Amino acid sequence: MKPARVDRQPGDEDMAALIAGLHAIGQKLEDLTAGEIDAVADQLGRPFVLRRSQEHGRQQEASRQAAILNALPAHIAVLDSQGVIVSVNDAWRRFADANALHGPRDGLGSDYLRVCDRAWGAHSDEAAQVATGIRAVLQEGLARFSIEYPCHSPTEQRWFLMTVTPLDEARAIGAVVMHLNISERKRSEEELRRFAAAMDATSDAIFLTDRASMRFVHVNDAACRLRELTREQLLALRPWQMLDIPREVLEHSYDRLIAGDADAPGAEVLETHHRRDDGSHRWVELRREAHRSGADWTIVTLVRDISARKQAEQRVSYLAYYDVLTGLANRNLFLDRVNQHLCAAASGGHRLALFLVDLERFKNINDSLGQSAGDALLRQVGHWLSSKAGDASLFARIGADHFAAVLPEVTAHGSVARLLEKTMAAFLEHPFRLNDAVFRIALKVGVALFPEDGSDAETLFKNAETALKKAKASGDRYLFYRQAMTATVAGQLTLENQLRLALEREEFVLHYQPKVTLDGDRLGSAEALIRWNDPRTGLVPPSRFIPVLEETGLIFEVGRWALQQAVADYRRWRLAGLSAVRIAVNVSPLQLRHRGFIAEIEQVIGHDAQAAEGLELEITESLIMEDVRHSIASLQAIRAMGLTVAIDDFGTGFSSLSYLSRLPVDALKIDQSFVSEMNSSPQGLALVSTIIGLAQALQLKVVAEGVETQEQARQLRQLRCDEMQGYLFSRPLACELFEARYLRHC
Amino acid sequence: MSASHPFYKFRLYVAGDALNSAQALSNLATLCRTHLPQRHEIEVIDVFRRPQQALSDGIVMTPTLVKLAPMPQRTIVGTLSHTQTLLQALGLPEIAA
Repeated sequence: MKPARVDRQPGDEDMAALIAGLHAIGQKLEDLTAGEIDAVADQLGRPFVLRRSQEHGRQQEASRQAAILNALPAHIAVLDSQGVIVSVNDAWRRFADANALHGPRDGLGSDYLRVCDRAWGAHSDEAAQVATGIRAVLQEGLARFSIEYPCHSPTEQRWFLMTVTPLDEARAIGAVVMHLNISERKRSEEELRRFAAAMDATSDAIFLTDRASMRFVHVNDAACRLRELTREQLLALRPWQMLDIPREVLEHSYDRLIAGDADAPGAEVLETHHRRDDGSHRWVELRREAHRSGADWTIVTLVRDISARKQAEQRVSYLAYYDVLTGLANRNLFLDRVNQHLCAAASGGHRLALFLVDLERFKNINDSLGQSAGDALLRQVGHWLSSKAGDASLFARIGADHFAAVLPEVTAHGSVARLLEKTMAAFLEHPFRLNDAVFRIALKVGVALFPEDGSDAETLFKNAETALKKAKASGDRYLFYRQAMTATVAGQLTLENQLRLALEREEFVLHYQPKVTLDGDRLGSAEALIRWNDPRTGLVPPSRFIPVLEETGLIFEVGRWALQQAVADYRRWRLAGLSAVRIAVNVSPLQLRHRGFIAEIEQVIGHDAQAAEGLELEITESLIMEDVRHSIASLQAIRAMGLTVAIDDFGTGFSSLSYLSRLPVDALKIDQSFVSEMNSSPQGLALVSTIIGLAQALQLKVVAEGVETQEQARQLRQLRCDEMQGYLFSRPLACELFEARYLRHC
Repeated sequence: MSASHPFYKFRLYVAGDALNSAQALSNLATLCRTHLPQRHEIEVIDVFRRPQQALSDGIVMTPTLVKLAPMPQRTIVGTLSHTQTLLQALGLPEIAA
């Protein structure tokens, strides 16, 4: 019988024996080496670590890793593949204790996923995200999940950063959850954000420069706008490049600032130009401060755009020296310029002329066409003057309708007058267009010369002003200053006051001069003439005070008084049963131009038709011709009330036959200059004869003024002049005297 | 260097930072600092990193110290904890007293 074959399968016994053998060998080795050996090598040189050293190594590694983990500020937990916490570090433990989050045993063994899933309240959203993230790492092989979330306790604002990473990227054996308190970082971020927002909210450009590195560390939005660069571009620039100066210069400035040098540039406010890329200039105010930042210094540069303020300042200074309407210099600047020209004239030994110019009829235009037309005229005049001279700096606008001019060098004697004549003629011919109509404007000019009339601008100006006043009061278009004028003007000032008082004290009186008829010296009518009965000097002739009344505007009140007085006298005569005659009252140019004049007459005559019939207005020819259209309208209104109108001083103005035929007037008064010339030359007689013929042709009454001789009276009768007035018949008489001598009881 | 103060060159074979190896390195360093200041040089060879060198040098156990110079070459196995024995083994008996 053959013995059964037994297979040599390695059984449990064998395995146990092998392990026991290995242990025995290990123990033998330990014994042999007295525990002083860590490893032995096999035949192939592979080291084989003895058990004791292996255990020691493992313990050492574990405690080292535990120490590292516990040293970290982050809260760290290791989760198994199901999300159960298997290990935590000290920080996690402390946090869990402090926040009573995880029950006993530091949360070890609790299901972290379930904790997240069950979270509720303010942070349930974040907890859900965390759970999703952990599942993605544990089950879907996500390499890293992280989330930042706020978790505010009742006492502080807290933020946390959570990251979840797999324990082993290859196998789903668990995950490491790290939970870091980032509140500090968040707070500084928030502070930085607020700081940056505050800096960006200011309109000042702010540059923070680190002195050591000489680099910008921060710039705000306004800085970027100022430089027209993006923040990145600006931060890439170096400060000295931006300012376009050498680096050393800027470093030196900064160091002086740091040293507290009061004279350092920037310690004080600097105002400087900044040119933009588009070429426009900006004014900026620059302020620098040095601030210690740790061991180093930060230079804070504040740049404020002050262009608007500068423009306003320039505007103010412009207004102080220029006339806004015409763009010409104003009085201040003009006087400055004249003084400069005077220096040159004095050193060059030549003469200088200063002109003051008045626009005639300006007030009329302003009143009738409106202020905008007036302004347009002033601009056109300013432009005409400066373009005529080719130099605007020689002119100024110094009053409503007053201009000034300087001729810095008078070349030859008499040249000023020639220049004036030529310029004024050209000006008069120039058509000024206002509201689609053409206007021709006349000038009056006063002239003062250096050195004769003054050595400084103020004196010359004052004297030219005097000459202008005189020219305006007289028929002259321009006048050179004479010393006597000053005395006149000074006299006028006192005269003006006296005239005001005279009006109050009723010192004005009307005298009447008869106009006799052609047929036998009968009284036809009378002219009322105003006289001032000055209690100190007696009667003052009208030539002395009428111009002053006109200049000062007193003429309106005195004129109104004269009308009232004439009407009052006329009524009194009639009531007394006297043979009252029509009274002619002189109307000043200013009165006729005045808008309220017609209403004033209405008021004076009231509804008394007879009073109106007894009143005639004498208006000078030149006045009517200054503004024919307006005159016609006024005269028509006057005649509609029943008054008659006479043209005074006829022949001295420039009326043409064509105008005369259109004028609504009743009578012509031949100027006394023609009457006095009548006997001296055949031409004189022919002239008077023509005027009378003209009046008769137009069916106007004709009156000769200033008749002084019998011969004149005889010839006028021959020419069939309707009425005569003059010393031959009577001088103007005081009212009572006139009454007694000429008015008879009917 | 005089003949009475020769320069010592050592080579220490260690098994990473295992306990005995670390002790051996520490003991050797202390001995050198005390007895051979300024005249020694220690080369440490980790057998885990350079197993072939250990094999070619005939090192089967770690830690093992080999005195390369001065001649004769000596080999000592263990933690080098017994200073007297070690001094003798290294041929430094005169310092032993």
